[in-house]
Amino acid sequence: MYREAIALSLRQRRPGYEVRIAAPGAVEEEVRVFAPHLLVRNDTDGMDPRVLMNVPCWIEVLYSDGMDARISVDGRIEETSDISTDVLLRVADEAAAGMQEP
Amino acid sequence: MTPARVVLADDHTMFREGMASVLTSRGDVEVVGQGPHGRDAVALVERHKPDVVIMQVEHHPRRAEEILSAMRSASPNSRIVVLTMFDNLHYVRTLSRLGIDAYVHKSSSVGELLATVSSLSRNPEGDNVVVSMPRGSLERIGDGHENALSDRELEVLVLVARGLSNRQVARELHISEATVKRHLANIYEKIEVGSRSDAVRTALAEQWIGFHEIVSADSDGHDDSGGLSL
Repeated sequence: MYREAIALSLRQRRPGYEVRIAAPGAVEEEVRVFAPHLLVRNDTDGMDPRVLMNVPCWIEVLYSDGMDARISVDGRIEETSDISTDVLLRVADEAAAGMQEP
Repeated sequence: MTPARVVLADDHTMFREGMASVLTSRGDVEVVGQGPHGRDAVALVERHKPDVVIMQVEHHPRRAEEILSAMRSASPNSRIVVLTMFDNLHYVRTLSRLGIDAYVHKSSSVGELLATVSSLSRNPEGDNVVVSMPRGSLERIGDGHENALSDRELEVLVLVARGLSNRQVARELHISEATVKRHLANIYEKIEVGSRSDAVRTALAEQWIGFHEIVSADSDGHDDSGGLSL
């Protein structure tokens, strides 16, 4: 339900973005096939962290640590407590802007 | 048709705002308030007196009882939908007794939650509890010995699992130590084990009692995994 609600909300607010939902066990394959500009995941999904090296931007919700989140945009990492939709949209927009750059 | 007025209480802001956005987009739901669960949620419910409260419950039954009782007092006519990661049948039963109207496991889809909200708001006098949880958990109902154990025996097992001695269990439950021993003897016989550690191990393995009942009262159960790609 978490990933579905977040994806539906993002689709509503940014209808021009292509948003896909992947089950925890399918994230690595989805990243390989879809090559997303942004990946939103949690730190208990069992994903090999090396997969993140192939994603320009990612948000990792720290379920193991009080729901704080770690955000990476083009290698720049920041941490935030209790991530909001505004932050999600900001990172999504930065990811989209990165697509336009040569 | 008047939209159902909903208060949304969940600690995870991104999820809560996302869910509010999805609910509002339907037209037949108005999210009149949202915020973290617990005391803040009770205040929201008291202020808005919503038709439906959707609230995260990820803690010990006693803490849940405290919050749900406060919520019931704050707005007796609101229908309460519990969102949780726990699929423990004992927990479902406990929360049902606390007067919830729906128990929705977080593995449920958004569509299932929306259907629950719609159903409850259209039928404010209904007495049935809507349950949405993994099929495997429901299929375990009636298996094994869970139904053979009384509520008191399950209470004793939880306290034993926390490492309490018979004397401490007796003090906690306001019963005599001899009564605790009798409960334990009955448990051993019913579930065919020979020791308290075997009884606890079996009860946990069969999910008659949950880890959330044993560990700290406010442990968080989020483990729904998100893999959203842009």
